[in-house]
This record gives sequence, C-alpha cells and structure tokens, in this order.
Amino acid sequence: MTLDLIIIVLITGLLSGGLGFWIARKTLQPLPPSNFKTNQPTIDFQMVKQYVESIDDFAQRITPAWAAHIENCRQEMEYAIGELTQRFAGITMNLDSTLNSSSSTLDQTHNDIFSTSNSGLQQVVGSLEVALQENIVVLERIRSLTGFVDELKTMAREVARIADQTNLIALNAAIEAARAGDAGRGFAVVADEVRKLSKLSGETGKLIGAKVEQINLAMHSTLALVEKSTEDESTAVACSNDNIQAVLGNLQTVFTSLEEHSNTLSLSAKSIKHEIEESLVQFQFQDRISQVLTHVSNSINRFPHYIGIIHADGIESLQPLNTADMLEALKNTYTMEAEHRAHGGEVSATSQSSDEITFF
Amino acid sequence: MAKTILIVDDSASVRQVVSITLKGAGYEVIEGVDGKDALSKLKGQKVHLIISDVNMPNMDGITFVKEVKKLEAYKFTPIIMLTTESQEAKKQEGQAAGAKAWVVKPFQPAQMLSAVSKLILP
Repeated sequence: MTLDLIIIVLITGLLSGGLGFWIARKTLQPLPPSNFKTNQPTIDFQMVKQYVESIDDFAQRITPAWAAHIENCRQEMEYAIGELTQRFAGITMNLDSTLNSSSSTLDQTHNDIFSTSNSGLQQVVGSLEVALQENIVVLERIRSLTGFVDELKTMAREVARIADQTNLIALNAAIEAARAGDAGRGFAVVADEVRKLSKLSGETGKLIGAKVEQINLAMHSTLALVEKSTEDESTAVACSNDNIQAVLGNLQTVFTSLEEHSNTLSLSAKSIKHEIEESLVQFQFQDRISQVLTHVSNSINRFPHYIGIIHADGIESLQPLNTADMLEALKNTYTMEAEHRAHGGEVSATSQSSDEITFF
Repeated sequence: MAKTILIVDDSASVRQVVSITLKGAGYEVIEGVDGKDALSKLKGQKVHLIISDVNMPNMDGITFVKEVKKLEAYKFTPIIMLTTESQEAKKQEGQAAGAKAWVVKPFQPAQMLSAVSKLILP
C-alpha cells in the first residue's frame, strides 16, 4: 500500500475506530433506571461535545504536524539529491577536462620529446660523420704523398748514381792527365775537382735518400695513426648510431607504455563517467517522489477542512466523513501514471524510464 | 558555434541531469527554476530550444509556453515539455499552448537527445 493511502486509511481508521469505541462504551454502560423501560442508550452530550472537540483538535494540530514532517522530508531529500547531482556533475566535468588535457598533453609531449631527441641525436651523428669524412680525406692525401716520397727516393738514388758516374769519369780523366805528363797537369787539377764534387754530390744524394727515408717512415707512421683514428672514428660513429637508435627505441618503449597506461586510465575514466551519468539519470526519482509527497501533504492539509464539514452543524447533527470525496480530491492532484496505479492498490517498487515522446 | 538550450524545472536534480546530457552532446545550457525565472533568463539571450517542466511554482509550464509564444524573438523557438504528466488532456493543453514535443519523466539521455536533434536546426 502506498504512503498516501496508508496515511488516509490510518486517519479514517483512527476516527471511525475512536467513534466506534465511544459508541460501544456508551452502549455497554449500565442504563440509568429512568431509561430502563425504553431500552434506549442515554447520550451524554457533554462527552460527545468533548469527543468532537478532540477530533477537531486532532485535525487542527496533528495533521499540520504530519504535513510539515512530510514537507521537511521532501525538502531535505530535494536539497540532498540536488547537492549529490551537482557533485556528480562536477565529477563528470572534471573527468572530461582531465581526459582532454591528459590526452592532448601526452600526445603533444610524446611527439615533441621524441622529435626533439631524435633530431638532436641525429645532429650528433651527423657531426661525427662529417668529422669521419674529413679524416678520410686527410688519409687519402697522406696516401697520395707516399707516392711523392717514392719518387724522391728514386731521384736521390739517381743523384748518387750520377755522382758515381761523374767520379768514375773524373778518375779516368786523372789517369789520362797523368799519361799526358806536364801537358795534362792542369787537366789533372780539374779532374780532381770534378772527382771531389762528384763525391760531394754522392754524399748529398745519400743524405737526401736518408732524409726521404726518414720522411717516408714518418709518413707511414702518420698514415697508420690516421688509418687507426679513422677506423676508430668509423667504429665510434657506427656505435653511436646504434646507441642512439637503442636510446630512441627505449624512449619509444617508455612512451608506448605511458600511452598504454594513459589509454587504460582514459578508458577507466570514461567508464566511470558513463556510470556516473547513468546514476544521475536515476536521481530523477527525487522529482517524482517530491511530487507524490506534495500531493499527499496537500491532502493531509485538507483533512481539517473535511472534519470541519462533518462538525459544521454541531453535535446534534454530525455528518459522516466523506472518504470518497477525499479520495477523489486526492486523485485529482495526481500527475503520474504510477500515482493512479497506486491509488488502485497497485504497488510498483521501481519506475521504468518512459520511452514515450510525443511530437506535435 | 554551439546551440543554446534553456532548461526550466523546479527540481535541481532534473536540471542537472538534462544539463549534463546536453552539454555532453555539445550544447550550451542555461537554467531556469520556474516559468517566471525562465522568462527573465530569455531576455538578452539567444536560445535555440527550450525544455520545460509542467508543474512548477510561480509560473507553470503551460503558462510559460504561452508567454514565450507572445515574445517576437521566440515565437518560433521549439519547446519540449519534460514532465511526469502523461495524461492526454495535459498533452493537448501543451500542444495548444505551442509545445512541439512531450517527453515523460523519467527520461533516458539518448531519448532526450533524439528529441532535441529532431527539433533544433543544425
């Protein structure tokens, strides 16, 4: 049985019960001797008056208190549900804003950091590559210089050979000068000077050869060093490239993992938001309950009016309580199908959403 | 630019539910607590659609619709009645006043959005 019907039945029950009890008590009282023959109960008008006044008092004082309690409950519920919906609405808005900001920040951060890191590291690799290429150019130039050294060595050997030849010629000239006797004495001096010069040339040639050999050794040593350095640089560049790719790969893994976590969080947040929105829909019950309570409260507030009607003509002419009228008046305040059903005694614990939309 | 919808209901919880539903679909929402309050909210605003309760204090929904239809700027603005009332007589009153649709509470968000999208101009 619904709240409104319970209250009305309670009130009418109380009244009819009270009146019945009063009549029964009066009927069962011992009859005064003067009325013994007529067998008619004696009515104590003073008591009836007191009873009627007590009912009036009941209607005037109790029913407003009932109605006030219902109204208080209604207002308290309205306030609490209003606060709750506002809080839930705030939560969904915060979730929306967090979801948007988190998603855009992660995407932005991910792209920015990855792109900046990649670009910076590629610049480092590029610089190393440039240095390596320059070293390779130096290496090629040093290699080409070793060819000149070989030429210089040949030239030095040629100088020594020419000096030997010249010495031999000078020696022959000295012999021929000696054979010529006094006539050849001057020529012998020239031949001797030529021999000395050839000897000097031969020694200079050897010195050139020795110096060229020293240069050759120095160049080979430098070449070996440059080759080693180039090889090391090449290895370092390759290694750096590998390391950079590994670092970028790790960074990518971290970002992917972050993105996955973020997506999971985002899905959870969306799910929570959906649940909250679904819950908010259920809060519409407050509006429905509030209306039912208002109708019941209004009906209770009208109760003194009905009591006033039955007592209007005084205790000599008491009227019966018009329950049908009261029920009809209550029924006329209903706005919901569920109220009409409840009026007929049908109780439905849940109120399903209506799919009803009427377009005009 | 987002369309603006005015929701008129004396129940804060219903206003919140409608507001969240509409904001989630990208609409701007303003609220009125009864017909009288809603009429004052219409001044200086461009409202593309109105959703109104029927039973409200100060000015009920049917009277509010009639008052809105008297306003030059809003005489063609579509109005949806969102109410617990499901009686045919009340619906006819709403229709006669100028409402375009009648949605019975409690409503489902998808149902409300469907009604809104059918009435609001893109």
